Amino acid sequence: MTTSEFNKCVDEYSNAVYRFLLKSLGNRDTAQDLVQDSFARLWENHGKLDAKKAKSYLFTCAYNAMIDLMRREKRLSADEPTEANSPTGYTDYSDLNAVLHKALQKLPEAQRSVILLRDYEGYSYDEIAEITSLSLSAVKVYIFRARVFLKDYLTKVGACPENYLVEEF
Amino acid sequence: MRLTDFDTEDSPKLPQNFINNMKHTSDFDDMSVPYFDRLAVLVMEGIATPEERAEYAKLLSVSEKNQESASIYSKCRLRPDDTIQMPDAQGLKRQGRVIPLLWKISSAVAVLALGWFGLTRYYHTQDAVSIHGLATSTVTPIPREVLSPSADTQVFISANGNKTVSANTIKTVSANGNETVSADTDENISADGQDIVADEMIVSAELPTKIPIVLTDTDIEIPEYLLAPSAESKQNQMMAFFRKRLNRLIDAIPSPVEIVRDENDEVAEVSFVAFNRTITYRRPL
Repeated sequence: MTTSEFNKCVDEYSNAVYRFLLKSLGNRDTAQDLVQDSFARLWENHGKLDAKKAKSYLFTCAYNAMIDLMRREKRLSADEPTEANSPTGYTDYSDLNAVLHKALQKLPEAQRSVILLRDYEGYSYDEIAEITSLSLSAVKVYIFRARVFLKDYLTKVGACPENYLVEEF
Repeated sequence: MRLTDFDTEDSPKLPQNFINNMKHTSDFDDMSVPYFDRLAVLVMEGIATPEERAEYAKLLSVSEKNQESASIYSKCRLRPDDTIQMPDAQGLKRQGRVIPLLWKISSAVAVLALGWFGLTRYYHTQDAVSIHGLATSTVTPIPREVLSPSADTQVFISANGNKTVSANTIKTVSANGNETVSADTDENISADGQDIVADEMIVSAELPTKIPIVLTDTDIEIPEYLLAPSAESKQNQMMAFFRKRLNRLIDAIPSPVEIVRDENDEVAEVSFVAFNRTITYRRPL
């Protein structure tokens, strides 16, 4: 990968990686730091990488950095009370996407990551398995559970109108 | 109802819902999720088989509750928020390493220039030797103004440094400084005591043979073997040294000799000019 290809990756993927990390972590500063770390690692290995693999490599670096950070933070705050992983009342339903992202924060980190990679970036199951180092079956299960959880969340908070309309998938 | 009523060989039939759930336990391990939801997720994710799609459509059409579930699932797909952008993304870019690149280019140019210069010098030298060998040889031309002898004059330089001039008059300069001038006959006139070619005695002491040089009015015909470029530089140097001394010998050739005989033809008075001096001596005939 040349320098110009690296800079092109910055233009094309920096926002996507940042969104992925921000939605996973919920902290802008931490997300920025991890994006910088991910691109730094990409640059360290740019001589060995093909430009076509840069995007998945970036997300792999970002995902691993995020998991490492979460594990460190979990160790540090092991004694602190954690928020219950259940949907809470959400009064502002004007934006369905906002409700979904609120529900996203309730998901376990593994499910949250795979559903973000699936919906945000459109990765296939195989690619998600490669990025997250999970088995294909685990990816399927996590995505399925995340979908069911999101559906239940929307149902419970009443985000869906009474007069529903079945959309074509 | 008695207890024996249940004592039959046929087991109670399993509910169809349970059987449908069992089909998908390998993919999704949560058995509490309704079968239709599993189909809905499979269709939503685009990984349902044609049979599952057909079954999904069938269940969707028969149940209003399934339609509600399908509607909610269709809204569960997250959409990226494009307003979220990485702050200072341009700071992540890397600058090309211009200075090392320029340094490499300049080094390569310098190496190429040196190589070209070396090759040019090499081939130029080769050309000079092969084409202009005559010009680069150290043989010095003979000045025309010193060729005072007549056209028919022949000058012979012997290996021991003697110089012989033959024509109408023949002059011979020996290695010990003697000079012999002879006419058509073998008459010799010595010039003892005259320091004519004293410094020429060592000139060609090592020359093996006499080297004749024919002098003409128009040009000097130098034997080709004297001018031919040779790889044997030592021989060339020796020839060049000889040519230089030859010029000096020619300088030393006296002007035409004046011979005055006495009345009895017994004594001749010989006069000639050499080294800007007029030399006169008498010799018995």
